[in-house]
Amino acid sequence: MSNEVRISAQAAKGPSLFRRLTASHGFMAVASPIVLLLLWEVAAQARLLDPRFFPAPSSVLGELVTLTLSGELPINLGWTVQRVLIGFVCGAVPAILLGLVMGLSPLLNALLRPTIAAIYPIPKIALFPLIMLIFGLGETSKWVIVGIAVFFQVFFSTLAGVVNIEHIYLDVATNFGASRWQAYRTVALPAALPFIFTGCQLGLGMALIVVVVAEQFGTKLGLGFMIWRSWQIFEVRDMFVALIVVALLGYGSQLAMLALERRLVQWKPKSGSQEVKT
Amino acid sequence: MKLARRAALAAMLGAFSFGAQAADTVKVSVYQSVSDAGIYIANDKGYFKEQGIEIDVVQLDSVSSVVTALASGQIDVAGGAPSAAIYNSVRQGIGIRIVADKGSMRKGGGYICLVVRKGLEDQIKSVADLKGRKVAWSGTGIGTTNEPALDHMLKQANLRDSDLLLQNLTFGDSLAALASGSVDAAYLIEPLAQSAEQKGIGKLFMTGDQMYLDQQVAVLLYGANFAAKKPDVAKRFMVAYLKGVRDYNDAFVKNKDRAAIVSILTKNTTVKAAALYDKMVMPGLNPDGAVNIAGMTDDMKWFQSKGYLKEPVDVAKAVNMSFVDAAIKQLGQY
Repeated sequence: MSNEVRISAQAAKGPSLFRRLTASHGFMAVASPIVLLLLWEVAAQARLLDPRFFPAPSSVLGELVTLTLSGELPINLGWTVQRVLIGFVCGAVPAILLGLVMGLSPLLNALLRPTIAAIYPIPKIALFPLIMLIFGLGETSKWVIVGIAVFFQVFFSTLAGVVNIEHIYLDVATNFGASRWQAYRTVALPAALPFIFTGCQLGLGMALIVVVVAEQFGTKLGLGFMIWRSWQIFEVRDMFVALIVVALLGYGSQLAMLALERRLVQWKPKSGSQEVKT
Repeated sequence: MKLARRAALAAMLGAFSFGAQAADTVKVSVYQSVSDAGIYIANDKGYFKEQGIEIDVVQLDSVSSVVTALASGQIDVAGGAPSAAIYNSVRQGIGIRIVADKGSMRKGGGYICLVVRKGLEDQIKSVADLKGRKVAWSGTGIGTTNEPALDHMLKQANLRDSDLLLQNLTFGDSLAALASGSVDAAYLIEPLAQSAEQKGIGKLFMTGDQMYLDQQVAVLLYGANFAAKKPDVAKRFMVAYLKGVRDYNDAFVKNKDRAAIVSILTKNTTVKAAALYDKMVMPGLNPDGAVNIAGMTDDMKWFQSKGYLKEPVDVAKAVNMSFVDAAIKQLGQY
């Protein structure tokens, strides 16, 4: 009898707090960057890292507050977000349309895919001087380079989504007399949506990478310019502030895209979202 | 007798070991520009070797890279512009020191010039005529010495930078923009200004010394470790460097041994055509190594007023002329 009591007491106690916390994905997601920042802080305070080149996170945070209050950071952030959004729309919309059409048209696929596949491996930023020559030094060239970077990610994902549609769905649509437009709208697009969102997530990440580089030319606004300028004038803390904001912007945009996907693609199993997240 | 032989042998060995003593290697960063002439001439003419120094040339692309490399001891000596990056590094306790001149807008030596596009010479006759014009000006917005130069030029006509449609392009891209008609004028470093004239792209409008006389646009920098731990090598380096600079002045000011110096420069710098040296505005290099501290202080204040520096810096503390002084003691005034 006494044995039974002991067993039930142990069962009530359950796994230790540490085990429970480490088993929680949410906790680990928050804890890992915090631990990293703490290690960085300790290393900088203990002078294991040269704080003139790797300033302590606490001093970077202080600078972040100063730059936010002065308005410099919000202005630069606003310009970068604007360029990413406009460029993203310019790239994603034609990519989705072309991906859908090429996915359902073997002829068009055979005609255009080799050209697109050949252009794809060219580092997009290497095209920037050419784009500046064509579109000038202003905003248009930045939208175009972001658009190109986004286009390929979204296009190939959309194409993969449409090509992988089980043919029976298209056959059913045809048998029920669906027009080409209806087949696109009611079969191809919904089936490809999870792939499109994956492409959009990748495209957004690529857009940020490209815009940060593009903002080093022909502008005095944007997070990319802020990073470059801070390095040029050797104001390293400002550079870290801008780098951290770019990282947060990237993470935030991925979360926003996931939330939108959950809202629009309700039939997609949750595990799929998890995969995309990683 | 035996003792005498041993002593003689020891003396011979001693002499041999001194003669065979390895030269001190000094890592130097240069941009391959004509204002690096002092270093190239000293190297080519054996002045460094004479001082028991061997130089290891490294090429870095920006002042920030130079600051990082000097601070970490990857290089010992560098040429660079006294830009906001230098003052910020001094403010943050990085022991880099300005030790000598490496280029200034001395009278007749203003080697960064404003060139007006061909066909606009009749319309742009004075600084005031630049109002509303598209002008390529390299290094704007990042705290370079090009910016105070622009400010000085505009003040001649009571203009501000917002009165111009400024394009921040590299010097090379500025020339291309001038050629394509994208800009009406471009701030170009030699030999690009001369090249623009020769190719019929533009016409020289104003030289650097006409914009901002005696502006310090390039300096020789010593890393903290080099200056503190190897002061003797640092002094010897300066002797060789100033000898090189004096040869440069002999060639381009006194026309002495000019062909040999041009040959050294065509071999080492990016200006490969010997004929260009007869036409281009040559950088002003002070044969006594002096720098314009008052001018640099003005520039530093200007950088601070534009937000490139969060706090002012005592420019005099960023300068260490003791190596130049020691070299002058040895070489005498030019």
